[in-house]
Amino acid sequence: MNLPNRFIVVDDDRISNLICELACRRFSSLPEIKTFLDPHEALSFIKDAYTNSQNSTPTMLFLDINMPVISGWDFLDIFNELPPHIRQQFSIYILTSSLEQRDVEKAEAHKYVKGLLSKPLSAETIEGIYSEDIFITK
Amino acid sequence: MKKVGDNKYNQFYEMLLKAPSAVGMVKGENHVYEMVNPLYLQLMGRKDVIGKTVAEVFPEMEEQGIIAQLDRVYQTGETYNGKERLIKVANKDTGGYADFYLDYVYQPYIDNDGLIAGVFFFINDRTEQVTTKKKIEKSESQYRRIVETAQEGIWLLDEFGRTTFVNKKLCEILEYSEVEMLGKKNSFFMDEASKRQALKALERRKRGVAESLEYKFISKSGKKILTKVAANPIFDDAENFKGSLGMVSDITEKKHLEELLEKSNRLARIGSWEIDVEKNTVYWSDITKEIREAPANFIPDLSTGIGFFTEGINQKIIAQRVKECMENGTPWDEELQFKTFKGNLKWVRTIGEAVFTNGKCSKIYGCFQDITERKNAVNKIFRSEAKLKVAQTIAQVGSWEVDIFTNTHTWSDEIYRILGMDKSVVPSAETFLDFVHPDDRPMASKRVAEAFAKHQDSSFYFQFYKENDELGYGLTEWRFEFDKAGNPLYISGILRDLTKEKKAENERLKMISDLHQRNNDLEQFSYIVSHNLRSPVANIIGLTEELKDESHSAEVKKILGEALISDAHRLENVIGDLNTILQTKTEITERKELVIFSDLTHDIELSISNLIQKEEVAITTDFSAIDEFNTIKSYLQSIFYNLISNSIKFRQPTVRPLIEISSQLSKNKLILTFKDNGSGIDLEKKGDEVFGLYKRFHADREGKGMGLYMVKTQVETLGGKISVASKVNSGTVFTVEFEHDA
Repeated sequence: MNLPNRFIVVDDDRISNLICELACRRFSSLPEIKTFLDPHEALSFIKDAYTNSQNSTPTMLFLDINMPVISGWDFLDIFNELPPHIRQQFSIYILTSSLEQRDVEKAEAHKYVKGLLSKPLSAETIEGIYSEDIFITK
Repeated sequence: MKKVGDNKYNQFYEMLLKAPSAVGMVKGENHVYEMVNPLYLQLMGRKDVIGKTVAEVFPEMEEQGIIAQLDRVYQTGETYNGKERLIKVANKDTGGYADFYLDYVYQPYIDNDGLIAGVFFFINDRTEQVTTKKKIEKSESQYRRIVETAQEGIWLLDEFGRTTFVNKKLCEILEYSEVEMLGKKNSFFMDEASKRQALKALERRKRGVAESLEYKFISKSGKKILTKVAANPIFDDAENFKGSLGMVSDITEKKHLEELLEKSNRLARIGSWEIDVEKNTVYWSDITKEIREAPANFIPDLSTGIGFFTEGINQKIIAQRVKECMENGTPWDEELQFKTFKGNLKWVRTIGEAVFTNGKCSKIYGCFQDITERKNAVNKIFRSEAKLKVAQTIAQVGSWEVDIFTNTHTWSDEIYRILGMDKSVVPSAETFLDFVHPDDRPMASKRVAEAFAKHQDSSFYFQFYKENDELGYGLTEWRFEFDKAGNPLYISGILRDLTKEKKAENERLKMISDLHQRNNDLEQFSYIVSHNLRSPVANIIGLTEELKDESHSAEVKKILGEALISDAHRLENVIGDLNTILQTKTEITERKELVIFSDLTHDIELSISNLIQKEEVAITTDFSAIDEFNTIKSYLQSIFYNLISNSIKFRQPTVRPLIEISSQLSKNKLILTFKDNGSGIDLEKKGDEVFGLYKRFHADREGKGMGLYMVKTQVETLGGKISVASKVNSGTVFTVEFEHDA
C-alpha cells in the first residue's frame, strides 16, 4: 500500500477546507496536507514543488468546481498546460457540493480527473478511492 | 388631137368637159398639162395648170409615186388602173394636206404616127364612199369589240327561240362553242324548271314584254350556272316579232356570296333594314325581326323602329340620329338599349346611312346587331375585374402578366400599391428590378433573366423599400403558358406582400429567443442557488460529523463550533438572497412614479459621500436629453446604486475613478449609459458570466457577486435590457434600455 506523499485541497471555502484537512488527517497522519483558498497560489506551488521532483507515489488533489475568479475547470485547463512529468504525479478528484449530472459527465470525460466526490469529504471516502487502486495514471 | 374632124372633136370635148369624172391629158415626157376639165380643177383645188408640168403643180405627187406611174405609162404604153388609192393633195391655202381616195386610169395617148405622145387620165373621187365605208367598218368593229369583250353574255334568238348569235362571254359562261350553240333553242341549255320558264317567257316576248329573269343553265361540264337575263323583244318595221336579244349575267358567284352574307349575318345576328323615305315604306330583314322578337310576317313602319328603344336617353339618341341622317346625311353607329316585342330588354348596335337623290334624302338603310350577349359578357368582365381588384387589395396580392409576343407587361393596381409606385410608371422587368432592395438586386436580376431564357415556372423572395421607407418583404411567383407547339405565349405571375408575415415571423423568433434566454437564466439561477444552498449544508454535515468525535481537543471543538455557526448563517443568507431575488422577479406591487435622474444620482452621492471622498471619485451626469422616467423608484435606485458602487469597487488602483452617467432618447427607447474608467472585464473569457449570480471575477475585492445579477433582474423586471462593453484596464460601459412611449 503506497500512501500518497501529499494531499492538496483547492477550495475557496475555508470551512470546507477545514473539514477536508480533518478527514485527511484521520485517514493517515503521514502525508503532508496543504490547503489553498486561491487556485493561482495552488498552481504556483505545484510548479515550484513538482518541477524537479520525481515522486514515486502520486499526490492526491481535491479540487472544488465553484470558485470565484477561476473555476475548477479553469484550474484544470491551466494544469493541462503543465509538463507531463508534473501532471503524472497527480491524482485529481473533483470535490463538489453539486449534484448536477452535467458536472459528473464533465468530470468523467476529463483526462486527468479520476473521479467526482461529494462534500463533505470523509476519511471513509478517501479510503474508498485509495483502495480501488486507481493510482495508475490514465 | 388634130383639128380635122373638128365637130367630132368639139363634141368629144364638150362631153369631156361635162363628164362626171375629172379628166385631162398631159403631154410629153415631163407630163405637161395639155387639157383638163373643170371638174379636175375643182377636185384637185387648182386653177391655171395648162402648160405646167404635173411636178410643178403637185410637187407632193413625186414622193407618192404618181410621177413614176405617169412615166411608166408614157414609156411602156401600158394603161394603169388605180383603185381607191389614197392620194394626199396639198391645199395651197391652208398649207395642209387633204386625203383623197381616187379611182383613176392613166391611158397613153398615141399620136398619128403611132408614138406615145402623152397620157390621158380619168379620175373618180371615191373619197366619200371610202370614208363612209371605213367609218362603217370602224363602227362595226367597235361594236364587235363591245359585243365580244362584254362581261355579259349576248344572245340573239330568232322568233322561234333559236340561237342566231352568241358572243364570246356567253360561250364562256355556258362552256359551249359558238358552233355548238348556233341553231339551238336557248331552253336547250337550261335546267327543267328554267325550261318551263323560258317557254312562258317567249310568249311574253311575242307580246312585246321586256323583262329581267333568273334562269338556271347547265354548262357543258355539268355545272349549274345561275344567270340573270335582261330580255328584249325585236320587232321589224312591220311590227312582226323577229326574235329576242338577251343580256346574260352569270350571278352564280354573286348568289353564292349573297348566301354567305346572309349566313354570316345570321350567325352574327346582324339584321338589315331599309326605310324608303319617298314611299314611306320600311323593310326589316328576317334577322332584324328575329332580334326584335317580331313575327315573321310583321310589316314595320318608321315609328315602330324608333318606338321600341327604351324611353329616356336611348330613344332620344336614336330619334336625333335618324333626324340628323335624313337632313344632313350623317351616318350613325350607336349601341343602345331597346325592348323587344315580347318585352325583353336587349342591347343592340344600330348603324344607319342615308342615300341622297337630287339633294334630298330618298332612303336610309343600315344594320341592326344584337349585342346583348357581348354587352353582358363585357359587363361580366367588368364585374369580374372589379372583384379581382378587390380580392387582390384584401389579400395584398398583385398580379402581373407578360405577353411574350408583343413584349407587353401589365401590372394590376395592387402591384403598384405594394411596391409603393406611382400608377404612371410603365411596367417592365427593369422598373421592377429598380424597386428591389440593392442587396437582393443581383439575385433578382439573375432569376428574371433565367426565367425569360428557360421558360420555366419559378419564384423568389426579395426585399424592397416601401413608400414609408420601411423594409418590405415580397414573394413573386410565375407560370408560363404555351401554345400547342410549345412556344411560350404568356407569363402570368403574382406578387405577394409578405412584410406583415415576415414581421410576425421575426417577432416569433425573437420571442423564442427571449424564452430560451429566460429559460437559460432560470436554469442557471436554479443551478447556482441549489449549489449555494448545498455548499453550506455539506459543510454543516461535515462539521457535525467531526463534532461527534470526542477525541478532538477543546481548541479544535471550538473552531468546529464557530465554523458550524458561520455556515448556518451562510445558509440563512443564501435563503435570504433567494427571497429577495424571487420578490424582485415576481409581480411588481409597488406603484410607478416619476423619477428624476439627476435627483436620484445626487441622493446616492450623498449616501456614499465618505466612499467618494476616500476613493477620490468623480461622477458626472448628462441628462439633457431626458431627466425623468415613470418607473418603480426603488428599483431604479438599486440599479443606479449597484452600477455606481461596482464602478468604484473595480477601479484601477492608479487612476482616479471617473463615472459618467448619461441619458438618450432614440425612436421609442430611453437609454441610460454608465461609463467608468475602471479595471474593465475580459468579456471574451467571462462575457456570459458578467451578470451571473454569485459570479465574482476578483477574489481580492469584496462582494458576493450578487450586485450585477440584481441589476439585471431589476432592469428586466421593469421591462428593459442591459448590456455591457468593456476592455481590460480600459474601463466599462453598461447600457440600460427601457421602452419609452412619450
